[in-house]
Amino acid sequence: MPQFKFTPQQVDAVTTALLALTDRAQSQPPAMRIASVQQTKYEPAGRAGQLMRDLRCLTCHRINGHGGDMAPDLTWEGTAVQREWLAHFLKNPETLRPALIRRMPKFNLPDLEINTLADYMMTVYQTPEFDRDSLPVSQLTPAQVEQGRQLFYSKFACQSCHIADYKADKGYIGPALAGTGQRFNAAWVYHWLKDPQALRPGTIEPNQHMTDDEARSLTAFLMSLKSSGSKEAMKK
Amino acid sequence: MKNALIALCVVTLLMAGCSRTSKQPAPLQATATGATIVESSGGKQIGYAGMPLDQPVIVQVNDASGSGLAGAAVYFSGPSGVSFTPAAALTDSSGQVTTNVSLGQQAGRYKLVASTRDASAKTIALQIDEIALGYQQTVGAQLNGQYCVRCHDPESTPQRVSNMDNLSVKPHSFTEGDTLNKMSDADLIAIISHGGAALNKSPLMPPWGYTLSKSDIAALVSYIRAVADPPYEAGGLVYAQK
Repeated sequence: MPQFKFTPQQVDAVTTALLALTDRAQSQPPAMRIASVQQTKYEPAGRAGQLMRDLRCLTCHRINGHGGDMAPDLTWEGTAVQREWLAHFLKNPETLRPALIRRMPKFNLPDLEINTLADYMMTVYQTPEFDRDSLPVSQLTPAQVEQGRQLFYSKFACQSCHIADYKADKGYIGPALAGTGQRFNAAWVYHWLKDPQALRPGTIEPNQHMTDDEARSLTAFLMSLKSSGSKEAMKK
Repeated sequence: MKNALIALCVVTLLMAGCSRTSKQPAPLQATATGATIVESSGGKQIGYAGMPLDQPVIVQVNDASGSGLAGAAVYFSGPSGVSFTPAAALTDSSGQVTTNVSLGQQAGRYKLVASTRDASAKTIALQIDEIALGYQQTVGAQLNGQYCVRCHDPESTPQRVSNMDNLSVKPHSFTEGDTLNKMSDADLIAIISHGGAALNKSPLMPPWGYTLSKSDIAALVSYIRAVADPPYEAGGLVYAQK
């Protein structure tokens, strides 16, 4: 092996190039070779775990670093959503994203299995960062709802990507937010608004660097959204 | 005497150098001569330096009445580093020639030339432009695909529905050189980092400065400059503004 007398920058560049030579990198142009994502060996446990293996949930969803990237990461789903919504969604997975062609299959599960899955996800898939009940909706005032509405439509212009009102908004990129009040926990919405990438690394929701007050008002507005469409679906 | 020897050496070296680069493909036996040569597809592709282009370049030789002509010889040439497979061919029954192009290692714009001869043996040539992205621009292209393209590209694909028509203020496509070339790098970086509102433009453009790193944003700007049409020409030194 010759002595190349590289500068430190050159050593870095060569090291990066060599480390980038992974299997996954081969399909990309040489300029873009990156190390492949390491999968963990995580498996859900118990009866719910068996059910999730039978339904092949991890083919599309990723949980604790194991699984596909076609559908949302469920690592902290228990903190994010309300149990009632989750059970309803498992029964009837209507789409949340207007322009998405991929659909979660309807599995026609009996209530017992839906309860097993919902209980497991609500209990196990919790972020250690905050308590999902730490921001009760009752603490949010109508004045905050109104301020949040204005922040939503003017300062942060969320309607460019999201739908809060199916009649007025057309944003096609993020999920529709019309049913946020039935779907999410307020504490999750607040922490998501403050730093989306902290809760789901790599999400394309931009971090808007909101103040605590702004995030709280927006949370109040979003939690006030109870879409008629999903309310009807909830009754079924 | 010594000077003459050196001169002789230089000439010999030059000829040796030339003989490698000027190697012409074996002449084709053209059975027809066209009146015009036009691009059918494959121009203005965005590829990667040193990589083959995704789509082949297809050109068509037409006769005087404007219909495709079979059997005309077409020669492809480009700057050093560009390779064509094949570099020369006869047009098929529909008057077309298809060639696969691999761009050189240098990032930037490549001007390729497809040529044929008309009845009076005069060369008629067609220029085809292609873009090769370098490392930084490729990083920008990937970020564009992840964060920007769904609003900034009016075209929809089955996997990715364009959001452009849903926005009350339409974003600029990154190829819109007429508009974007007039903006300085600092302005582009400010808009990407702080959102449209920062430069009195639409707040529908969100701020990315807390999501993307400074080098990510620099990569995006270099990508936007690379794909501009008409091409972006960096300004020289600015000693004073206004």
